[in-house]
Amino acid sequence: MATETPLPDEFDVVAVYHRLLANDHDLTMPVAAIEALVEAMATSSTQTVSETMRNLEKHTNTLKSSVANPISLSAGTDLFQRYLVTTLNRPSAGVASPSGAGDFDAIRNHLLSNGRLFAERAKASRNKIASFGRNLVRDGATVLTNGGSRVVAALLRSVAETGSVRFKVVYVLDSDADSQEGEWSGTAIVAMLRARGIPVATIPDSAVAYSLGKIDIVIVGAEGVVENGGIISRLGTYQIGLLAKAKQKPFYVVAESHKFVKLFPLNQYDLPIKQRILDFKVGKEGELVSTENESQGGYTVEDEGVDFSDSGVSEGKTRRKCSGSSEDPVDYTPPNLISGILTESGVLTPSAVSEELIKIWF
Amino acid sequence: MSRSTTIQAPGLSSYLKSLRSTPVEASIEHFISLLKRRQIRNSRPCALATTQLLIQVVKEFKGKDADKLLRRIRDVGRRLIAAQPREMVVGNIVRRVLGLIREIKDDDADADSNAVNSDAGSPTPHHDSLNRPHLASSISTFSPLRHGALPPMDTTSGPESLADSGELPHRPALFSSHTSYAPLGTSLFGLFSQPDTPSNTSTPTGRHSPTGKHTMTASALERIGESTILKRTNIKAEVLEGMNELQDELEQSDDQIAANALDHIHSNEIILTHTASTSVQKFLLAAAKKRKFTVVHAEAHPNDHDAVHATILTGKKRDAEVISEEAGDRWKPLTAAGITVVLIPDSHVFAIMARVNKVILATHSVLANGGLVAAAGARVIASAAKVHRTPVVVVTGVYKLSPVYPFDIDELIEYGDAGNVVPYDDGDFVDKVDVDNPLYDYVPPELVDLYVTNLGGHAPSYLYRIVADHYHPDDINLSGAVERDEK
Amino acid sequence: MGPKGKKGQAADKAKSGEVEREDPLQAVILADPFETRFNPFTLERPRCLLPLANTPLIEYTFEFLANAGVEEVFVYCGAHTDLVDDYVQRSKWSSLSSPFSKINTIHSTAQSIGDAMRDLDKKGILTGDFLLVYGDVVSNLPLESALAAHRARRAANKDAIMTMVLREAGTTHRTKAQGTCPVFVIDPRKDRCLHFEQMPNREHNKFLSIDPGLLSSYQELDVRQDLIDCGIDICTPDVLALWSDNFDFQAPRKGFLHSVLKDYDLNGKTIHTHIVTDHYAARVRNLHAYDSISKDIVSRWAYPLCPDSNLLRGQSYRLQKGNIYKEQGVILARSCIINRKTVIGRDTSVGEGSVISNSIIGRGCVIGRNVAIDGAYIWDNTRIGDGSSVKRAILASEVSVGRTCKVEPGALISYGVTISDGMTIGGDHRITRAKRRREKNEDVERGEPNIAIVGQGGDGFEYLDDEEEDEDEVVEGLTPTGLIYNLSSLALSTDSISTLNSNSESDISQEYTQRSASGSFVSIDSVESESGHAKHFDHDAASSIYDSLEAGHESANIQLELTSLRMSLNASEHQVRRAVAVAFVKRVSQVIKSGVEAKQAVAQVFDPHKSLLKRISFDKEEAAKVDQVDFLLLLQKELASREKGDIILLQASMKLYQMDVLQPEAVEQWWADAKATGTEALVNVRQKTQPFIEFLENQSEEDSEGESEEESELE
Repeated sequence: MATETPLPDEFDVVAVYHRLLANDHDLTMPVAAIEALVEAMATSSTQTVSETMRNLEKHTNTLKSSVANPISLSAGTDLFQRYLVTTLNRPSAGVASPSGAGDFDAIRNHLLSNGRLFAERAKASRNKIASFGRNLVRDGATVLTNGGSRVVAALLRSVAETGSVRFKVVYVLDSDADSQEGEWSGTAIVAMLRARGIPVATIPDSAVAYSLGKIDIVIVGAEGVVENGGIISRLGTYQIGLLAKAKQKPFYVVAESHKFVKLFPLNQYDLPIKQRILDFKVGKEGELVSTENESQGGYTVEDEGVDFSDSGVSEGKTRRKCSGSSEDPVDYTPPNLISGILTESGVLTPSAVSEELIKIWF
Repeated sequence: MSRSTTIQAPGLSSYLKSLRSTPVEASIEHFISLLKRRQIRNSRPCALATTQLLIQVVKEFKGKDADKLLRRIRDVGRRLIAAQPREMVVGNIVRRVLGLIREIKDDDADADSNAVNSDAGSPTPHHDSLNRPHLASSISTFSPLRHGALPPMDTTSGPESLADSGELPHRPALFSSHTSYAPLGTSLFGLFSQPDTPSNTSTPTGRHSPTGKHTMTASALERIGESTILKRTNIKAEVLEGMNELQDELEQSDDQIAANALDHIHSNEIILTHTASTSVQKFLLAAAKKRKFTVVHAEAHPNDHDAVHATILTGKKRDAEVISEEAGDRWKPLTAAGITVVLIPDSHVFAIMARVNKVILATHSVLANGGLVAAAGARVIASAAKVHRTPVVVVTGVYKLSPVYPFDIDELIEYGDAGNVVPYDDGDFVDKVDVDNPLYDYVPPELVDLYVTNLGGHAPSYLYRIVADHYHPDDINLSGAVERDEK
Repeated sequence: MGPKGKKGQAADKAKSGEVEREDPLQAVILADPFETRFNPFTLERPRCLLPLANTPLIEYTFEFLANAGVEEVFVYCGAHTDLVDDYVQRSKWSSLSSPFSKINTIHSTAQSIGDAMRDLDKKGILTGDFLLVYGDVVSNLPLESALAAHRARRAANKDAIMTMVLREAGTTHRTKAQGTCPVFVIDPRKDRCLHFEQMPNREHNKFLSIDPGLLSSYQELDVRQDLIDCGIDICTPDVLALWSDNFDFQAPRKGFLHSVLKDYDLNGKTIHTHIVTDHYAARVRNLHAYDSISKDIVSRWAYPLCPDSNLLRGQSYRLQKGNIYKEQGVILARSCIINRKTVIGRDTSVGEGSVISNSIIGRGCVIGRNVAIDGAYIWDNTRIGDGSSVKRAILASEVSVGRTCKVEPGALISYGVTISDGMTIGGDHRITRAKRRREKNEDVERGEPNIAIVGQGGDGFEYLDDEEEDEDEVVEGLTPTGLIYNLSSLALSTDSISTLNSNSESDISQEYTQRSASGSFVSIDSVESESGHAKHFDHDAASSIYDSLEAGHESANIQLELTSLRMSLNASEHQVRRAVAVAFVKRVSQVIKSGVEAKQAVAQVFDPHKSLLKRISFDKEEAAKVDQVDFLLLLQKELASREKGDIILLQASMKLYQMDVLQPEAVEQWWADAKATGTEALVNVRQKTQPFIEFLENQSEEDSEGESEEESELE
């Protein structure tokens, strides 16, 4: 991980963030981010609202800039931010400062004392989603999935453990997923399922269209669910979605609601991250020069405050080689391809997502 | 049963009659068996019966504790739904009633919280109460009171949330739930929300913060709050009132729907419809008052064709129950209103679709994803309409709108008496051939263009909103089944 | 409630007001049809509690009654009353919320439906019109129309006492009674049943005898045999009265219906039919019907009476494509295959590679690996070992079948039987653990396991009761062969036993010969072991014959009376002979007491009744004169106790010989018969007859005058 030099602030939020991720493999990036921020709050001795907010802002930016693909992470940080904002800047706080302060303290205490709780809640919501799997995966069904999504894995596992449901899994493993390690890599999940007696077939991306004929339902995870109900997910999801649509197969997304992120991508290249997927090159063998073309997603969002310095780019280059599950290339699957988004509170149609996001932002 | 009619087989009318005179438990069981025996079937009768029954349940309910009442209704609801899960209307009504109770209960809770705060000597309550009305919009949903400052509010709901059939500790907190039925708004923040059981211990009983006092006084006031509930609001009365409104909604939904007729049916159109549906009939009749058009009626063989023929001739089904329940208003067939009616077999639908301007479908129940379950044959019609780019309008009362998400379509489809397809006398068939007779079809949302409910017209993709407005998220997971809806 | 709602209510009231009746509709369920067709299962459980598609039979009947709006139900039980009563008490039907305002179980010692009806008449609990159904009716038809029609007729004519509800079914139908068919002759204009005949549909019996009067008096007659008689009768109390008047009626159709229609001129009662062409109605009258009705239910012909409407509390069946019903908690191995039309109850587990089709499997069963089950009925908690195959058989609860067993079509395996590994159960086997019918409050008495059948370590033995045995041969001939051979053959075989006390199908004449054949083997001292009503017969018959002898009635009349009595009480020929013997001996000894010489007495008593006496033995042609021997034995036994018995015996035997009732061979066989010298008394009483025997032996050449010198000798 290319970590930037810790900010003057004595607290290295990035380090904490990575520590959290390292310690707990079940932890998703948003939650890790939130926890990191909470710890930051704990250390900082801020008493006033504005100070806290500023502090928070700073840490958030540090975090975002520290990783190549801050989308899912930002889901967490934004959520946290919005929570504080809405709770602290509500009318009453302004009027009656005593009670306002009191509320602030109360909230602060509440957050600090329940720090660990968030992670557990996050997992709880994952398990809840998993428990819906029973309805999604029917007896005799064949499920197609991809990527190394924890939620999908948890869901399939819970279905497998019911025993009464007999289903097969077709797992799309792309080359660098195979090279992955860690318990949530595609290979690991496949192994886990097979160990539970679930027949699993692993296919390359190129075989999706071929296999779809035998598929009853497509289930994918997501790094982030964007405002229009589309998802940002592991590279290859988009094409699966397209194919599923073409084949009239139900295409379900499973994602905890804290993965909802305030983004409105208009197309694939409209993501606030830099990916070197379309890497046009010229020249002879040996010294290939990559043409720095603008056609791809070089679009930087100001409010993200991420400056894609050369270090960022080079880091982007290196990512292709040393790919950690967090920095896989992603693509954007538009909502019209999605039959439903399964969150811990039930199934949403894509159109319902934006409403929820709007609610917390405005 | 003190049912003194010996000839008449039990049915909706006899049941409604018996309700008055029968102990509630008996009525519940009776209703269950009627559902199982399919002696009360189809949305409207089920809805009516359920409402009436629940009214009785509430009436006999002793005590004033809203939570107890909630639990009671939920238990009854579970049993009813288990009896005939495919009559989703039953579940809908139960959920509506539950939502009703919650609302009333939360109003009280409000009052209490105000009381609490004012006790705490903070001006906030006035603010609260002032912007309570426009709280309904959105941001107010997260009035932090429920998160940080007033743990007790959550503790009140503690036991109840536990009763929520295995709900996880994380649950939308109280206020939000009543200010707007947008649970997810809170569940996005659910991550942070005050945990119910575990962390009340872990939350600092603010030594240095007024919240401390709040909690004290508040928790102290809880009991008083309870008592104030007792003397101030009689929950039962309010609930019953609400249920009567619900009742009226059932009674009037058809007419309200029909009010929209002129917006959708224009002169000289050719309308294709299917099955004998009271709603559709009224809809068409309303339009017929002003405009002349042609109705092509697919007869819905083999399960509903008799009713269809009857409807076309006399304007009402021969079905005893429907008569008894529609007895109030007079009927006349479309033909009497000067409408040309063409009866076609279902097999002719595709052929004639090219000439049809609009398809108007009745439905058995509408699902949260915008799809619907309607009499068998509906899907053929909808698909044919799709091919011919003919708009499909579904006419339904909101009470048919179910928050259940259709994970498994097969479970929603009822298979009926095979004897309707092939007469049972035909020994060879009975012996050698498997005869299936599905009563319903599932029509996916993409085949529907518009829903016309008693609230007006909605696009299928908008239904989730109506669901959210009518059902409380905690009630969707009623029958213990893990099925949830979209918000 | 909204204004419209009010109106609706009012309308309801008004509407139902029209059909308001003062007296509640009552129904009688004959829980025990006094048959043995479901043996061996009915040894341990009452028939109406046997599971049909995993729901006790009687539940369907209750549902039907509730459906029809019945309010008071009387469950009339014979055997296993305690079980039935217990069940009813626990069922939802006797709960507060039951649709029935009253539900009673009536225990009775009745031995036939006839007795039951008479008993009911005595009890006088049935005030108004009532439904008479069996505890095994499966039907979803609404009765309003039938009831209405019935009441209309009632109002018009008091004599329209009964309406039979019949379901129309094609000429060939699996649910129709196999082997025989009831024929209804109906006046279509009045729906009146004019004639009823139970026809065994066998090649050599295609004739229906209709009173020509009918043909002349009605220009239109329906002769229908395409009807399923589901035993649903709407009766008026008069029906009960009629039963009581005719003490000899036993079967509602064969006996009651047939005769009431026959002597319409006497009683003037009319019986009507209500023929339904839609809805479902059938009776689980025998194992074959059990088979087909189960199929009907699974393939939803009886909708809404199907597994997934979960009639019973706690059931949780879900319908899947292809009429597969699974209850929650069914555990299926990944590789097992569940084919169409299958029902599987809760907590049943199916092992790898097993294939199940067209079967009904109860709760808590354990199906091993690679098991093939087809068309089988497996009740609760049964275990089937790996590699076994079960085809078209019935396995009751708690049965345990070992590995690689083969249960062939038609096999019946009763409660708790254990089949050890590798056995093959032939289709004709009926295996049970119960020796005989379980009596009230006692445990089933277990028999010794028959290793040959159930294998080493198995438990259970072939179920045979001597009646059954000789029936089966009879049955062979008349059962349609084919897959359902065994099921239906059983049904029929048991029909013919219970002909007289059930409305079953096999014909009487058949009955006689069987009876005589079997009866004659019964030892003389078997009186005690005879069933209750048989005892009645002995007494009634003997006394009636005696009386008529005393009164010097025509032999023919006595004969007639005897036959009717015999038929009514299901007595064996053996009993008839005993009765005759007793009566005649009694009479003779009485005459002698009055001072008449023995010889004259015998002559006086016997002479007029040659025909009667001839009529009691059927073995003139056969070599072994079993019947005559039997009669002699009976005489001998009877006389052993009387004074001058020996002389009377001598005289009687000679007289019978002269009257050619006895043939010499018979007498000799009798003499040789071991039973004849069973006891001291028997030996003594025989002594005087010694010379007669000797005479018989050397009389082959000169008979007539030999006889005269015979007599001279004796003087």
